[in-house]
Order: sequence, then C-alpha cells, then structure tokens
Amino acid sequence: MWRVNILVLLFSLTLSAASPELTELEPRGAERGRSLTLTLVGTNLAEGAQVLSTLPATFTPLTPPKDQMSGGRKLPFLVELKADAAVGAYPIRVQTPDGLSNILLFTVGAFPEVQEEEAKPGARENSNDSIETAQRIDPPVTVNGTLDGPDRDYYRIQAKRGERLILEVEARRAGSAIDPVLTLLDSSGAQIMRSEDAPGLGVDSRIDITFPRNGDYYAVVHDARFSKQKQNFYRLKAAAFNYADGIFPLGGKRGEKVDVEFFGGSLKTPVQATADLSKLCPSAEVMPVSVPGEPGSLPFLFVVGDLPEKIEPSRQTPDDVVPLAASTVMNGRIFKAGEVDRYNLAVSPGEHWQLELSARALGTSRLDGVISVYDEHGKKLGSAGDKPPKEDVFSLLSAGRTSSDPWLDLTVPSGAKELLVTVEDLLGRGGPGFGYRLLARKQPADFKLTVLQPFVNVPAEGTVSVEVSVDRRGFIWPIQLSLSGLGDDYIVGGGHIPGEWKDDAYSISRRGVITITAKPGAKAKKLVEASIWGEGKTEDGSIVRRKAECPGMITEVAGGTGIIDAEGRENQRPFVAPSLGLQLPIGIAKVESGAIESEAPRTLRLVQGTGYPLKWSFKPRNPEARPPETVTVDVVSPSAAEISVRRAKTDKKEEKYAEKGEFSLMTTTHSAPEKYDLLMYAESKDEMAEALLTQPITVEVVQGYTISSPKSSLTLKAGGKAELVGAFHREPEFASPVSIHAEYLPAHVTCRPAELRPGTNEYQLSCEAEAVAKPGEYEFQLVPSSTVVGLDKRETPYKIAPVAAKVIVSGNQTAQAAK
Amino acid sequence: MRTTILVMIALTSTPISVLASTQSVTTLSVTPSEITFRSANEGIRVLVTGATPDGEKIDLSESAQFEPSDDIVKRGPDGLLYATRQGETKVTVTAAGARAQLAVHVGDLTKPPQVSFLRDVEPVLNKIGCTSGLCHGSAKGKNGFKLSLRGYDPDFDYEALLYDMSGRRFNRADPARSLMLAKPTQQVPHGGGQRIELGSRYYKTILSWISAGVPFGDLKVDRVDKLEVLPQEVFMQGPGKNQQVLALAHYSDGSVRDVTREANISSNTPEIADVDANARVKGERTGEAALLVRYEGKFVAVPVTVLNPNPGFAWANLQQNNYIDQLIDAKLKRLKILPTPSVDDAEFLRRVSLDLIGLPPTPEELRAFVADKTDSKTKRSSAIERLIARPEYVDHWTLKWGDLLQVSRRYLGDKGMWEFREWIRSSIAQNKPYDKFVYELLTARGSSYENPAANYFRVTRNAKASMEKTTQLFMGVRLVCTQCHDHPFERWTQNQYYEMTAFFGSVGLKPGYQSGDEIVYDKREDYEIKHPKTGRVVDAKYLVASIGAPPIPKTWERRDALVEWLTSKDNPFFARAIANRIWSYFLGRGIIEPVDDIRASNPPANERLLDALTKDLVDHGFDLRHLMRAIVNSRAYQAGIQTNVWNADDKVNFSHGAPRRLGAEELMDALSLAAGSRPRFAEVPPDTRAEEFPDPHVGKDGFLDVFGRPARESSCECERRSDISLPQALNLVNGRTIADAIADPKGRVAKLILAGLSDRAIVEDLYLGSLSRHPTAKEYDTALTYLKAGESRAAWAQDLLWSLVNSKAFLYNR
Repeated sequence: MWRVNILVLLFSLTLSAASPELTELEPRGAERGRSLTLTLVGTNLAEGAQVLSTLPATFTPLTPPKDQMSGGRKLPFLVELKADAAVGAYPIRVQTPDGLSNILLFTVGAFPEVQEEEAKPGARENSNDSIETAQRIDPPVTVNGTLDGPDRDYYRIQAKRGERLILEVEARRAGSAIDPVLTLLDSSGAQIMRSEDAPGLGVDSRIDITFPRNGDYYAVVHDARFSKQKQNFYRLKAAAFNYADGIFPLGGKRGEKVDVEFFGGSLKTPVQATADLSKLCPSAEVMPVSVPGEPGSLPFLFVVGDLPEKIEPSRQTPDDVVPLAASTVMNGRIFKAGEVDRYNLAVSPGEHWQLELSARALGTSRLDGVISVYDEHGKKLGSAGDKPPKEDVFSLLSAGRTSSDPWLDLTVPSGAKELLVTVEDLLGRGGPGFGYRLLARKQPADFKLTVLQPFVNVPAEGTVSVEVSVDRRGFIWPIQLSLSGLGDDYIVGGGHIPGEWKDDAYSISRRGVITITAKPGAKAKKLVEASIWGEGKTEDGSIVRRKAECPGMITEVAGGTGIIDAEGRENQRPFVAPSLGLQLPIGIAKVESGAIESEAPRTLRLVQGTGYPLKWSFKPRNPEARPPETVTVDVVSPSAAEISVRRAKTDKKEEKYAEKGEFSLMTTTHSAPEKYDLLMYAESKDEMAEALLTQPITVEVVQGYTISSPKSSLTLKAGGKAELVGAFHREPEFASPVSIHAEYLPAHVTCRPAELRPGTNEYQLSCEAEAVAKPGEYEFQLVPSSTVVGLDKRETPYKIAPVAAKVIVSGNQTAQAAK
Repeated sequence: MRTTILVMIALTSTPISVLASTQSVTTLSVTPSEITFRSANEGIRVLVTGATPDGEKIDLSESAQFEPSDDIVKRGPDGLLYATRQGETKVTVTAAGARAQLAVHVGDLTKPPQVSFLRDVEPVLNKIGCTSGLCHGSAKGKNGFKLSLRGYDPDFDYEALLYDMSGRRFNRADPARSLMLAKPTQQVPHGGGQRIELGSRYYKTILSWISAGVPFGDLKVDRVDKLEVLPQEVFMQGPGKNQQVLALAHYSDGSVRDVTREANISSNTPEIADVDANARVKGERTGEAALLVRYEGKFVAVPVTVLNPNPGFAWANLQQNNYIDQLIDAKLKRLKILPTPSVDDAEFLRRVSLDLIGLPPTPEELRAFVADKTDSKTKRSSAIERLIARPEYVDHWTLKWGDLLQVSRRYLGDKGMWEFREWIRSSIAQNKPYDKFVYELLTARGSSYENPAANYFRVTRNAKASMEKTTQLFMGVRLVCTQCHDHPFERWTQNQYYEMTAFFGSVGLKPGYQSGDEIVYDKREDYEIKHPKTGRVVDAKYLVASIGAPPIPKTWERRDALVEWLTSKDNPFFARAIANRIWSYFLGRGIIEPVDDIRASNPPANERLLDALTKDLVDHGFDLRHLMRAIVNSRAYQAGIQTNVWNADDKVNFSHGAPRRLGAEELMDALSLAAGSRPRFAEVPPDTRAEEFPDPHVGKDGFLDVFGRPARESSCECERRSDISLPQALNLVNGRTIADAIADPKGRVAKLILAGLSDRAIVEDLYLGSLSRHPTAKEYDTALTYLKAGESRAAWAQDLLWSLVNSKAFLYNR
C-alpha cells in the first residue's frame, strides 16, 4: 500500500461541520457481477447526493428510511455492477450542496458474500466469540465482519481430509483500521496455523491449509492489538484459489505495456502477464494488477512513473557491475541471500546527485534496502538505510515513527568520474520478493511535498487551510506553495515555508499551510481538481519545483504504539490509500455562521525586534450566530522562536465567547528575515461545532536596514585624509538612527563614526592616517549599531552583521623625500 | 613484610568436626607440618587437629600447648608463632592427650624486609578499609582521594598514592612523618578516623615501604597466584563448636604466606555459622552456611555444616522415585536430616496442577483422581503427563517467560508485545528445546513484527544492557558491578565486562515500516566497544573457555559466535542455570539461591544434585518438559510441608515441602475457579484468564499488582513478590475482586443454590472448588452449625466460600 510518513494535523478542523461524512457502507463489498442494495451511512447525507466512484456500476437512488433517527444518515442505492467489474477496492464518496464527503472503499470480490451474525443490527455482543458459539460458514464465501475492541470472531468450517482452503482477511487493504490476525484451530481448539502479516498483503493475513483430517475447524479473526476502531470491518474469504505473494518489476512507465511476473504464494511456477499502463489517467500513481485468471486475491498495486525504466540485466558473476543511467528507474532484485547488486554511475566532480531506492515502503517488496556509494578507490562516500533515519520533527508529530526507503544525497568529490552504487538487504536476505526501483538523478538538493488531506471543502465565502508536508532532502531554502487548477472562484493565500538555518535540518520535514478562500458566488456543485506545487531557489539560483502527492483516502487508526519516543509521539500511523483517480478534489461547503475578521493587512512587514497588535472581531452572518468559544493564532513556522503570538486582551474577563480581541505579534532582533504565515482560527465545540478560519496574514520579517560594502577601497596617504562612502538602505518601517563605526583599523588610522538619520541613503566616514601609519593594504570592518522599539515601547539594541572593508595606506612622500 | 611459609601440606579431604576440647584423641596433626620464617615481624598460625577413636576430626588449635625446643621461636599472646633468631628447631604440640611435632626454619632476620606495594601495602589498605565502598573506594572517592574499590586495580591505587597531591603523601626524608601514616593514625585530622595504631604491625609495614622508596613490586611475582583456605570444609557436630580457619596466599615464585589476618572472611548465614575477627568459625545453630574468604582479588568459599546434636537419629528409607531422591537422600543422611514423606493424592494434585499449569484442579478432576485405584506413583505420573499436555501449561510457562523476557507494551508497543508473547507461547507449545529457544532469541534480526524474537533487543536497547541481561538470565551470572570495577566476590573483571559487551556492540535498532515496529539489524559501522579507562577498542572474548567454542569473528557477526558458545552443552553455566531455575519453580528455592546469582562464593546446596539435573537436561536435548517431569515425579517434590525434629531447621536441602503463596495471576485464577466467575478486563477478550494476560498493563494497579505481579522492568526473578502485606490482607477481606466473585450471579454459589443441592453437598463442593480437598468431619460440622445460625442459605454459602478463599490453605501452594 501507498505510504505517507505523515498524519493529518488540522484535517478534522478543516472539515465543515455540515459537510457530508461517510462512516459505513452496507455492505462493504459484493461478489462481482451481482446487483445489490448499497446503503451509504454517515452524517449530512442529503437526499439527492451524487455518488462519485470509479466502481464500474450504476447507482440508482432508493428512498431513504423514514425513521426520525435516519435523517441525513442513510442513503440507499440500487447498484448494478457491470459484469466485467474487476476484483478490487473502489472508492465511493458523495457530493451534496454542502460539499464533498470522505471516501470509503467498496470491494468487489470473487465469492458469495455473507455477513457476520454478530455484526447484524440487534445481535448479541460476543455471540461468536468461542468455539461453542462459532458461526458456521461454507466456502467459497466472503464474510463481512466487524471487531469491537477485545473481540475474537470464531467461524466453523467443516472440512474433509486433503481438502485445500485459503483463508484470507482483507482489512487494511480495503480501508479498515483493523490489523487482523487469523488463526486456525482444530476441533479440539488447538491452534494449528496462525497468520499475522502475510507476505504481499501488508498487515492483512492469509492461511493456506490442506486439512489433515475430516472434521470441524475454526477460523478465528481478531485485531492484532485488540484495538477499538471506527473503521473496524474485515472481510474473511474462505475459498480455494490461487494467489501470488510477489510481483516483479514493481512498477513501469506511464503509457507503456510492461511485462510482469507473479510468483510465490500458491503458484508452482511464476506467471507472466502484461500491465497495460497506456490508458491511465495522468494523475494515477499506481495501477492494480492481478494474477491472470485468479481473482481470489485483491490486486497488487503497481507503481506508475514518468521516467524511463530499465530491468536489471542478468549478471555473469555476482561481482559484475551494471551501468546505471541517470534519471532512469532501474528495476532490480536481490535474488539470493547476501547478494549485493553493483552499479556504476558516470559523474563529474562537483555534481550533485540524489539516489533513491523504492522497495519495502511500496508494499510489494520485502527488501529493507541499503544503498551505498563508493569512489573508484573503494572508499565509501555514503550510505543510507543502514542506520536509523534522522530525526524528523514536524511531519511526524502525532504519528508513530516509521522507516522509509533510503535515499542518499551526495556531491561528487574532486577527481571522481565514476561512482559505484550498491544495493543490498539490510539483513542480508534475498529472494524473488526482494525487488526494488533504483533511481539516480543529477540535480540540486531536493524536497518532496505531500498533501496531508485527501479532499477539501471550502465554506462558501469562507476560508479553509490545506496542510502540506515538506520532506527536505538537502533543500534548506524557503519554499513557496501554490495551487493550480482552481479556476476563478477561489483566492489562494499563504504557502510560505521559511528556509532552514540549522545544519541538522538537512533532512528535516516541515509543514506548510496554504489557504483557499471561496469568492462570493463560487459555484457550489462544481467539483474542482487542483494540484499543489512548491517552488524554491537554491543558493546558486537553481529553481526546484515539485508537485505534491495527494492521498486518495486516509483512515485513522486509533490507539497508540505504546512506545513514547523522545518527542512524545506514540500514535499509530493512519492508513493512507494512494490517489484514487483525482488529485486534490475541492468542493464548496455550506456557508458558516460568521467570520473572524482581522484589522491587520494581509501582508505585514515587521522589522526584526518589533511587533504588531493584531485585532480581530467576529462578524455574524445570521442573527442567531454566537461568537466562537476560542480564537487562536497559529504561526506556520519552523520555530516558534521566530515569531511569538500572545493573547493581549478580550472584551470579557473570560476568553470564551468573545466578540473581539487582540493578539500581540512579536519578533526578536534575531528572527530570521523570512515570510511567515499566520492563521487565525476560531472554534466552537458545542452543538454549533464549527471552525472558522481567516485568510492568512503573511508576516515578512525584515532587517531594519542594510549597509553595502564601500563603493571602493579607502585609500589613505600617511598623514592624509579620505572619505569612505557606501550605500545605506533603510526599510520604511525603521526610523531609529543608525551609527556605523570602523573596527580593526590598522594602527594610526582612524575613522569618525557615521550617524545616519531617516532619509539618508549613503553612509560616509571621515578617515585619517597619521604620518607614522605603516603603508600597506588592510582589511577592517564597518560595524553598524542601532536600537529598535518593541511592542512594549522599550528600546533594545539592534545590531546587524558587520561589513568588510579595505584600506590602502600609502607612504608619505614628504617624509620619504626627507629621508 | 614479605614472609614465606614453606608448606608441605598433607591435607586430608575428610572434614574436620569440632568436639569438646576435653575429649581424648588418638592422634594429633599440625597443619602446616613445617613452617619457615623470613622476617622478624612475621607471625604464623597453625591448625591443630585431633582424631577421635571413632575417626572424627576435631579442632584443638585454641587449646593446644606449644613447647619450642629452644628460644628460636616463641608463641605470642595472639596464639601465633614468632621467630627470634636464625636457626632450625622443633615445636612440640600437645592437646587432648596427644602429641605432634612442628618443624621450624628461621632465616636471616637481620636482613631488612623486602616490602612492596603489591604484596604488602595494598592488602593493608584493603584490610583497614581504605579501599572500601564507604571510603576512598567509592565511585567518587572520599575527600578528593580515590582508590579502586577493594583494591582491584593496584596500578591505579599506586598512581593515586604517588601522584595525587603532587606526591605529598610521602615524606622521603622522614618517612614516619608521611601523610600516608599521619592520616590513618589520626595524627592529622582524618575523616575516616583512626585506622591503624602507631607502631602497630600495619604501621611498620607502611613505614618500611616508604623507607624503602615506595616500591611497587613485580606483577609477575607479587600478585597472589592462588588463595588456599584450611580446612577446605568445616563440619561441626552441633552448635557451639569452633573451628580456626587459615588463609594462605600462594605466589608464583612458590612462596606461601599466612594472610589470615589480612583476609576478609565472612559467613553467608551468620545465624548458622559466624566468624570472628580471628578467623574462628562458631556454629550457632543446625544448618549449612558458607564462608567467603577474600584476599587480593582471590576468593575461596568454604562450606560449613552444623549438625543436629540431638542423639537418636536413625535414617529411615523412604521411597526413591528417581535420581533426584537418591541424591537428596544421600546428603540428608549425611547431615542427619530426616525427610518428610509424600503428601496424599489430593494435596499432590493441587500442588502439581498449580505448579505445572497455574490452576488448581476442578472438583471433578479431583474426585476422579482420588477415586482412581491405580498405584499412586503411576497415577501421579499420568496426571503429570495430562497436565503437561494442557493448553494452560503453555499459558503458565508463557507467563513465566513473559516475566523474564520483559514482555510489555511499555517497551514493545501493543503489537510488538502481543507478537513477542505469541512467539514465546508458540515455542512452549511446540516444546522447543531450550538451547534452540535461546539461540533464536539472541540471534534474532529483522522486524520485530515479522521475527518477534527480535523484541529481546528492543527491551535492552544497548550493548551493555543486552550483555548484562543475557548473562544474568541465561547464565545466572551477574556482571553489572563489573562495569565499574572487578567483581568483589567473583573472578569477573571489568575487562571481561567489556569483552562480553563487545559481542553486542553491533546490535542496531531502527524504526520499522509499521507503527510501533522496530528492526533489529547488524550495525556495520561504529559498533566497537571501548574500554572506559583506556579508551581502546575491546576485543570480544568469551567469559569462560568451553569446549568447541567457535572462533570469534572480527566483524559485526560476532553475536552469532557468542550464542553458539552460550547455548553449547559444554558451557559450564547455561544448562546449569536453567536447571537450577526450573528446580526453583517447583521447590520454592533454587539449589543455588538466588537463581540468577551463580558464583563460586554462592555454592549450591547440593552440588551433585545440580550436576545431575544439568546432565539430565543436556542428555535430553535441553527438553525442559523432561526436566520438569523428573522433578515433579520425585518424592522430594511431593514431600509434605510438615516437619520432624530432624528437618525442622532445614531450609535448603529440600527435606520437606515449602508452602508458597500463590502468584498474583494464580491467585486470581484460583479465585475465579473457586467462585465460578471471571473478572473482565478491557484490554483482553472476555473469558481470558489472568495467566493468559499478555503483560502487566492489563488490570494495572488492581488486584494483581497488589499481590505482587511484576512490572517487568527487569528480568530478575525477584521482581515477582510473594510476600504478604497489609494491602493484600485488606484486599482479601474487603476487596471488590473477591466480593464480586463470590456474589457473581452466574458463580458457583448461585449455581449451587439454584440447583437445590443439599447443605452437605454445597459444603463439599465449596471445599473441593477452593481447597481441592474434601472437608473434614469437623469442618462439615462447623459449616452446618453456622448455617443454622443464619437465615439465608445463599448468604451462608457466600460466607463459607469467603472464609475458604481467605484461608492459608487457599492462598498457598502447600
């Protein structure tokens, strides 16, 4: 399954309270070719909602249940599956006048479907939680069941000696938060097989059994952590079918037809097939591919790329070195335990390269990859995957830490023309299932962007934020996010991600926030597909522009990992499905009860060390609207130390339900001169639960003034005088006088400090060399100093970095003549 | 002072017993039989031993008379012999009517003595306490002066003395005014008080050393090669007897020195055998103890036996079920301890059920077992087999190993914890040989979800902790203190600590690809371990040599070699440690106790028995079930807890059963069984027994924790508490767990009442369900009388059950 290292932070906040939400599909799946009644369960499911799905089927609305409790909670449809609908998991969402819903996955299977008795409405709790009360099932069948916390579901199967049966649980692959464990007991209750995370199935489970004797057997399903989940369903398949547990290669180029091989599992020999990537939509990142003629299992997800691809050629000896072409994906495989694949890469000194290995994290490889790079003399230049990942603060907040596939960033050392790149398994393993995709790109430092939510509902005339994670790969400079494909109905704001100044920020991840505001009159029913881009400039002026990956859907996985790391993170990583046909779908939601308005301009320029009183007020849109419970300002910044925000005052003693208030924005004299986005949001958690967001205020922290190096070197004759002149620039917001004095002058040379008042754009220092000054060329510094007045009206010293200058002292001709 | 005793010791292995000094002896022997003086200050003690007509040996050292032939030698008031001038002579020794001769050689006493730091001064510093943990031997030293703990590092101490304070500790011009003498004699203020007297023997030693220019000595010659203690075993016929002990230091040049006064001698059980400042052991009461004699990093353990002095002991042959009984009986017979016979069938079944599966038998099982007319030994063996085959057996031992391997979501996360437990459970279910089990654990690599054995290293997380846990858990050897200094009571050194740690240096951990997972891998860089003192990389080295140990690779793969060495049948600790540990689970204490502190200074209660158990385990392919079968089939295991006059004081020789309070989980499950109910916990499926709980997180801070469930914060057996406390008593009397169980609407009492059983049948069922036995006639009477006093039969039955589960018979495995 697709992998994202990050979790939604403010996603729930950006969901409009009135937007539709799907919580359940009844049923969760169907046998292919069958028609069925599908009931969408959730909230705010208005009649007339439009189903958006790639499921090859027609959806005919049925009359919703009339009971009072069901209003807006259930929408039934008559679904006619097309006969050729392939086995797989399909997204289903609805769009109503109040916006888009989340996606739930509907699974088309190959076998007749039944429901777990215990999961039926009104069933007794724990009614199939023991051998004695096990529910009988008759293969071939798919059971749709649920698990509720410390729940174990028992199924009885009558089997004959020598009969073969595959028991497979689809849960996480079908969008459930359940991490299933499947065990098989004999008639005495003794465990004879167990499956936790089966090869090729992610965290899902599979048992392949040939029964040793006639009699009853029991399949038991439970969650690996006995956790309680909102999405707590599973699909237990019991049938005889063939399956593979691996595929190679792991991906191909869009637009091409790629030969693939399925292997392992119950396949006696590998099965060849073709993955047709020629008819994919441009945004598809994966394509489901199945073992031909074997629909029992869900398809593998085959990676779709846009770069040229190669298959690792066969090697005569294990030590053979294969050329690695730049910007071409090499599809390789560690075939045997201990094998090391070697590649040579033609390079030039000083070039900057990025090496990226995709394997384990794709979900279709077992390789814990290690990439290493050596120079021509065998000296190791770097490696990745063979040590813990660097600390990663923001993107991993509230998500349990996990490894990613390795990447390596390097600058070619002088004299090197060829590098040796090796790929191996961290644990020295190998086999058909140890495939990888290796990519070497000659490029400057890079970054990756990932959108942290799968869709966006913008409140009519309101604003919503979209969070983006920036995974820096050596790119430490500022990044500006932008949105494309939105059309004219929206205004985009924010998106400033300041640069990093710490050395250890080389691979750090940050979050950026971009906002979307719906203009008055924006078309409510129009679904927009947008893309988020990030762009930044390196030190040498190279522009790096990257498109953000968008998740198809996100299923929250409740509960902690139990392990609290140094940053206090313990949450489970959510299940994130890959893009399911759209980039970032954007809809218009219901108008909000009011708006928070700030008196501040959209862009504020603040000199380092100064502040700004940020006033706000609540503007109701209807007479019943009540002020929000809390109002908060969030600084989208790598470090809170750059800008601090404090609550100043409200018109009530208590902070709750205030109609207006004030925050104090403060910078320090050391705040990095960057652009920062401030988001002001108001929250109500009562029955009027709502989150109101303002358009962002971009704070540009600036240095109060700058001085340039002198126009020319100061030339002084011993015993003579001269003026040192240079350009001075003062920001309009900075009014304090500035003094510039010279430091580290040679002996017997002095300069009078320059005092600069507003309106001056040049500094001038009068310098003098005594007759005894020793001729020569000297470097010295121009040191500026000033003060700045903060929000508290106090003056504090304000210094910027000194500027280097040069003085040339020539000999005193008179004195020389006298000699 | 350098003194050598030339000893021609003809020691007999027969232990010396201690009888009244007035008793006549047939022969008298002196040990050593020949002594040599090399300096004027040297004092030498000899042991005088008499043999009684019936062959017993008695210590007469204290009462013996010494008559030198001339004035070459004399006896001091301290009982030691001192030389006065050069020459050869003999001393006639008489005691208890017998006589012996002692040959004495005295060298040139006018030569100045050769004194060195190694041989003479460091022992003095150790003896007077300068290097103790409370003084300069503490981690940070004292008042700015640091010495190595108990003088384990003479180099360091010598350097400290010489160069600290710029060498101002010595006054070379006037050695008597040296600070090193002024301080311990309290001539100048000394925080540690006066340690030596002016002009005393130790004073003279230090003064001579300073006068001689503070020589360090020769490491090859002046370090103790071997420490010998005489007698090798002390055997007293009863309390109140004494035995003099001699400590002799052997050096590599062949010289021997009487170091009894400088040696540190202590008893591990002073209430049985105590030792005074003059190295005289006194028998205090019947039993066994061990003396630990330490001198300059060497140590010797001397077993002491104090027999029951009562007359009339007669050995009675009891049934011997297997080799265990033979070996135990052999020792009991020698110690004049009469074992207790086996318990009856009902008691046996409760005991063995609790020990093997953690649950008492049900009333039905008990009735059937008692009614079975098969001979008892066969019947019991069959019951043992049935119990071992039950799934509860797997749960019970999974719990034990869960404790030892610290299965806890605190370290492993929820899924890691469940998976690790499942791996243990599966290993026990398939009766994985113990060596294979440990091999898989310690060589585990990869995702902790895919290879749950790798969780072992997620608990320890670093090389030192991994090494310490591995050696303690699987070898019973505690190396923790050697991280900072050589082991005070063992041969283990600080170097060995790091040599062993080096095996684990390459174990790396990185996050896995799923939440909460971690990957255990071999680091390929930065995996070497450095010695904290030298900063140099330490080469991995096995703690002790063993046959067939594989060569140690220089690379990161050395962990595999360690595990091969560890799990080898030839490893002197591995099989022995687990045999001892398993034994302790069934008999209440190890043959070596504590079970994870195996060392020469902590000798086994029955060496031959431990050897035999170890051999049996190894011979049967490390099959722990086999070992358990052997133990629980033995009569020793099945012995009653009642004692007789001959074994009442015995606590270590397994002559009678030892009641053990039920473990927390056993108690909760026994309560559930007795009451016919089961508490429900949010973290586990309904109907899960306490012994099936995966970790201490389930039911945290409740009944189980009150009753000593371990938090699994260490792998020490000591973490599981089996004491009795006030909170436990209150919980038993007033706690919700018991009250709710007894009043459970689907519980035993409710069922009995609703079934309309007779009063007598109810009493019987409640006794069988709780105490696993039928009530006695008196108990029937008491219960039925109590019924008549009340109105409600149900309330009466609840009260009766309450009183039964609050009885010792329920709370203990007896």
